[in-house]
Amino acid sequence: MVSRAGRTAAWIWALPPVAVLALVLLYPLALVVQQSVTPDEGGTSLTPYADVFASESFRSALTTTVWLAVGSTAGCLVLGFALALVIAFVPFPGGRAVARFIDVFLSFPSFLITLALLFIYGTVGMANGLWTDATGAPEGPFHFLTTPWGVLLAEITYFTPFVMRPLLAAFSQLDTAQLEVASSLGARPARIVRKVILPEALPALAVEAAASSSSCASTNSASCSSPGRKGSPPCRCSSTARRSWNPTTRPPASSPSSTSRSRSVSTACIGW
Amino acid sequence: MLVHSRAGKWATWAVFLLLFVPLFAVPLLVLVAASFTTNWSGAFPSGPTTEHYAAATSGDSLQALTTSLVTALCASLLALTIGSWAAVAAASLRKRGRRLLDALFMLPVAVPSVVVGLAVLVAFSRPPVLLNGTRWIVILAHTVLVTAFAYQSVSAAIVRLDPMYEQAAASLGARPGYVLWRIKLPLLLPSLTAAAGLCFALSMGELSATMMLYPPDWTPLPVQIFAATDRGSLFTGAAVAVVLMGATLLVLLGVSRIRTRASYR
Repeated sequence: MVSRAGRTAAWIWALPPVAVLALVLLYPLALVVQQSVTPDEGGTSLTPYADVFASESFRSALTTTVWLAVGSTAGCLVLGFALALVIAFVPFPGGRAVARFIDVFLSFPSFLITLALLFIYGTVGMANGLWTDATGAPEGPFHFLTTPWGVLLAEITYFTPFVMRPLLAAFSQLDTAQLEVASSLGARPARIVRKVILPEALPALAVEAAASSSSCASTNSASCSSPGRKGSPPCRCSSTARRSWNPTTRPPASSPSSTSRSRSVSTACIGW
Repeated sequence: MLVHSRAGKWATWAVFLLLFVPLFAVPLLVLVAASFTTNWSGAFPSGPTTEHYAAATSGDSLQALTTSLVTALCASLLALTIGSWAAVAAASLRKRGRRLLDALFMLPVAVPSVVVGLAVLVAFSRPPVLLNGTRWIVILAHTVLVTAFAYQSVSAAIVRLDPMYEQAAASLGARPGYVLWRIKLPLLLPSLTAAAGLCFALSMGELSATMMLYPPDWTPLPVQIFAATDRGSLFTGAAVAVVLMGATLLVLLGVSRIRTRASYR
């Protein structure tokens, strides 16, 4: 049993990182929230929120995003777990290189995924080019990039490495002897995965599920550059904010258009 | 280890390749191919050239690369310190406190990075702390964004840590600081290096918050790539992206050399 003094000491040790986080994240977020409910005339008002939620395009974008977040989280978890399992436990020559390759994918700016997908599946991309060359048809069969399925593909491509990375780290600390014992006792691979590997991976996996679902919902920069989806809220936040807050070409602070615009950005982002 | 029969192994590898190649290898290869071409209008690229790389490794791009490396290094070290400190501290709290810390440190991921960028911009463009227009605001935003990942990987590893080792050390008279330094941290080292690599890679590729914050004399590489592709010079953008990934890969290889007996594979 931990003594009362020990618990107090534990809390004191937890304070410094929390204080740093409060200063660099909680305080700024609070300012944004405060700004979003303070109209130009002064006072407090929820009108900006009413305006945002009244707009049809915002609500439909919200539905699409929730749908996409659920779909891509499920896809990333299943795909990431399967791929990490093979890399860690069915080793093949070059497996380490593949693991490194996954790391590099993390440094991929997300809009580059969209660019690469455009090169491959775009209207004049590789896949359609190959198809028209082979069949002589005027245009290829791949048109899914402008639909939500294209966004789903981009998000799964972008976020699966985020799932694999911690899983591989967790797997690397799993004692191989446990697997050997289980298998020498007659357990089949599926059972070993279920009874030995999955419990070990569950903390990492659960954390990842939460993290990737929220980031799928939020980091839509992959879908931002995808044609036809320019209007989703994170994209709007980004472009408007850059215009009104650009440090290099900032308009005079007193200009009403810039302050009201930044206010609407805050609102859209928080409503997000 | 998991699959013993030869046929089973080959089947597993085949499925792996079938998923891995189209989803991850092909997009990357396409970018690499694009960085070497002058023209891509049909099924395959044409007009091989290396001049995009000449542009990507000189002048502005070279400076942007240094900027990105310095930013990512500072941000990941800071995030690793804060994140693992919080994770270690959270592990010694009871359930409620741990939940609270988990929620707090999950916040930077739960909040869209654009919003984090905006919030940092709003908060540090006014007194008492004026950082807008300096490089520190970029480093600060990157630190905030990657801290969550450091915290998560370290706290996931702490949960899996066998408490027997610490208890044995403590029962032999080791003080808490000594247990932390000689037992916990060495056992956590694989996760710490993994977290450092993850933070570094994330910071190297961060665009959406950076776009709002960067001062003209501190332009990270992703911004450079975005500007290039936005202008329509797709192939130069692809070359700069390949340089970015190469640099990240080199650093990650260096980080992964740090290994201890705590990892089996």
